[in-house]
Amino acid sequence: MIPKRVAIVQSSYIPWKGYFDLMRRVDEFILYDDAQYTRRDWRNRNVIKTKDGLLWLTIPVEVRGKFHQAIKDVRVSDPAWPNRHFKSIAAAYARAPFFRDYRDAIEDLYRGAACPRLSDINRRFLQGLAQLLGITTPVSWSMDYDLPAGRVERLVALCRQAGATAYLSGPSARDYIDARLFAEAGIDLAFIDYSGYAEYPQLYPPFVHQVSALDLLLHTGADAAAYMLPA
Amino acid sequence: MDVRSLLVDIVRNDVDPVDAATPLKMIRGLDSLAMVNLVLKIESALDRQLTEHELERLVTVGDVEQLLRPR
Repeated sequence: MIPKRVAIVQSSYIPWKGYFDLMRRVDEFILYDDAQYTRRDWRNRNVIKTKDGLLWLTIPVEVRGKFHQAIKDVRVSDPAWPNRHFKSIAAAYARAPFFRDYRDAIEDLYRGAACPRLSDINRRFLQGLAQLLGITTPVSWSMDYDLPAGRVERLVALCRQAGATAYLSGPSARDYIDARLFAEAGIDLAFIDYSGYAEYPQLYPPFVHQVSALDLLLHTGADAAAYMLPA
Repeated sequence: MDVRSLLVDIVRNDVDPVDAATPLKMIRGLDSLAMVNLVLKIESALDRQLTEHELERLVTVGDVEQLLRPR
């Protein structure tokens, strides 16, 4: 059997570098947007660094009365957000060393981002940013696979259907993941470690790791991948 | 919810005396990452996500108090 490692994660809007580090370490990155949309999470927003501190960029979504909707069903409530977000990014990073190099590519991502579904928007930015970061991992939807009941059973089923021999998980899943189910399926289970990333020269010190990966790209350019390794 | 207790919990240290007009930026230990945690704590208390407009207006201790005030 050909070794294949997968990761299965909910889509997020312009996430931090750790998310892309997970993506670059696997052979298939499955967006798990069958999962329930959690209201106070990072699915529809992230933060960037500005001279005045961190700025939240939030895609406005319809949540009123929709307590159990899946991420794949979440819809945008105000289509005017892309222009606003791009202007904020341009203002925050105009002085970043690689802003000029990536400005047009990022603007193109925002120009075509007026989709009604949050999942489609997230995937657009995930794939676009991954490309700019030099990550070539194929991205797929959990919706393209058959899902059984059970939180961990679903992960194992997705791995099996994707032909995975190994599953790389985010560290927070340690709390609930049943390693026995993976072992029974013959799938190696490992957890990514997000500690120890190297700092890079970043505008407006002190340094903050937990901002959108746009920050890494615009400060380090083609060297970005080097900063997704332990210092 | 008592805002001072919330701030102490976030900065994991005692907080100098503050009043409603105290800018959040002036609170020792409340750096940008702590501000993210503060937002997440407020959202947890309100059981909803803050809007960009509300986040922009989150400048002073009084702004936090106003958000957390029962309606």
